[in-house]
Amino acid sequence: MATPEALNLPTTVAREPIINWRTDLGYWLGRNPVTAVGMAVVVLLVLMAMFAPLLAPYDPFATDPRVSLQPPSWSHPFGTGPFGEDILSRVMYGARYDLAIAFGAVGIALVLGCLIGAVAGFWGGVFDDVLMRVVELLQAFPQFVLAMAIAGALGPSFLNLIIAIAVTNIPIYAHLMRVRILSIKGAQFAVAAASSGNSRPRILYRHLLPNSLAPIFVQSTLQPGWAILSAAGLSFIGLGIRLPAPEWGLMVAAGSSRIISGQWWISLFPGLFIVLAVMAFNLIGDGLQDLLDPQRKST
Amino acid sequence: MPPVVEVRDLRKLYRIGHAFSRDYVHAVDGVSFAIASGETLALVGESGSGKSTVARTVLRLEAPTAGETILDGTSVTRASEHALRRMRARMQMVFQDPYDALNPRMRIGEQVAEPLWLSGKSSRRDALHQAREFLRGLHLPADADRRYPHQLSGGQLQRVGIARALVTEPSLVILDEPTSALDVSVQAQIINLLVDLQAQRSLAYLFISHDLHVVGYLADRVAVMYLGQIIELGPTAAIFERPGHPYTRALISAAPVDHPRERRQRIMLSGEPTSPINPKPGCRLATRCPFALPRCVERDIDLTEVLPGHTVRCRRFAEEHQDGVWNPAPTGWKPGFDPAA
Repeated sequence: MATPEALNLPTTVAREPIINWRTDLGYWLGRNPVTAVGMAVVVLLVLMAMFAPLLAPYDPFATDPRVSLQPPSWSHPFGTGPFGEDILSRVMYGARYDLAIAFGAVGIALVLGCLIGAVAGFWGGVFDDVLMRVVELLQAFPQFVLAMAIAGALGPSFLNLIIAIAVTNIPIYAHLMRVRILSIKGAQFAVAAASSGNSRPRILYRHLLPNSLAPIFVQSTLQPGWAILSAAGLSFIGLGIRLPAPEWGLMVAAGSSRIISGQWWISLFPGLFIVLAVMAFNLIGDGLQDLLDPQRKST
Repeated sequence: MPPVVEVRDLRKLYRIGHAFSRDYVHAVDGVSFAIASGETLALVGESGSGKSTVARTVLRLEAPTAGETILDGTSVTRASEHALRRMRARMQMVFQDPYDALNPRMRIGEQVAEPLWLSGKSSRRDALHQAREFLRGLHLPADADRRYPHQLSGGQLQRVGIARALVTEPSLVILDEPTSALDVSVQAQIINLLVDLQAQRSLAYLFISHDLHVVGYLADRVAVMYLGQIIELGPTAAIFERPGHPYTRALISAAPVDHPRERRQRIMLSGEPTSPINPKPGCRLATRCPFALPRCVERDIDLTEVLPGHTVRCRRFAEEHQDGVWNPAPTGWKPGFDPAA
């Protein structure tokens, strides 16, 4: 009989049962060039943020009255602001703020949302009622208005901005997780886990959680784009970070009054980077959704 | 010798509708039996008769509404949560669908080792080692313990399920239709493996099935369930050759025969099973039974010992049989319908 050994097949096994990331990812990216582009853009943005001190031609906080409000030129490719600050350098450093907000807010929302959803779905009853009513309370307000209210109440700061965006993102994860746990907690392997002597909490974190993360994972790649947009919006209306921090949304706001007098570059370049980052994250999220759910093929 | 497991008057009621509803599904309604070491008791009945609920409530994977399970002289039902988790090593279960019964994201070895170290029988490291050895003994691939479930076939997965149930050397193993999801060619392997393991370890099996051929081959005694109650319990040969209860007769006569020319008298039941929600007093088969009479629905029917070790829940059989023989004529009577009137 042909055993794997006799056929000289690899006997090492992949960790990931549903997707083998090492071999499948390259193939899949080749068939989804749009997602590959999204991933490349995010990688480039992360590299730009990491190496901003090396890449940026000027100090993002340095002012130089002699070159104020210069249009794009070879010495200042994105032009300069009202105090002679270099827009390109500020855009590069701005990636640090916006990516930190995107990943930070999504990370916090992911952990808290999954925790709430898992407890509500698994224990049910009173836990479910109380937790999900609180979550629905958050959903009763438009997301951006709620973020405004929280950011306003906490006061404008970098950390508060992340908290405000994270809180408004919790309901999505809580609902996804709850439904997923509800649908698999009756599976035979969950009953078998109880029969093996697992305690209730251990059934949840060792058996149910690892089998619930795929849809959550997809959602978490769709959210950073939205988080950047919210951060930019909150900073634009003065509820986020304060000048002179080089956050993209803030830079758009600072330059908006000068578009009418002809200095379009102050707002345009940070604005373009917001668009770029949001699009890149959404392309990745869309692609992952297709990978994990082949029936829902989007174009 | 005292039985390994004794189940006394087990009941499981599910409330339906709102929180103060008085409507209950009587999924299991007073089930009692005992199994000795090395013995196989088969539990047969149609879908919805409560077989699987019996399995879950006996092991207290679901709390019974009433009744008790005694395992090796200790009560499973009254044990504390902590004590119960330690007892789990002595009562295990093999599940119906091997693809669904194993965690898709956990290595096989981890899953087989869990009942060992979670019950405190050995350290986690020793448990993983023992699990690997046990899997080798079942002729699984040498590296099966490091694989994930999707890397094995259905028959291999069911052997993993058996390994997980038997690695702790339990006293009682509940087999919940362990072959019904497998190919016919693999079913025989699994059945033979179960027989061998039972002989080596003198295990007590509660074998839940609706495959009467497998039951006839494997079981020492057979309990027939209908709408949450055991309606007949007796030695396998007696149940197959001289079934007493009309429902058992219909069930046995409905099983496919071995030879196409073989013919036998069919006992047909008409209509659907009555609702298990708040069942009326009297025999639960009365609406479908060809031999029903008005006295069948006067009051609840008890299990009556008609021959040594053979009990039947049928009033007419208990009153009219001669040494276990009863050949009634169809009556044409239905509850709520009297042709004479």
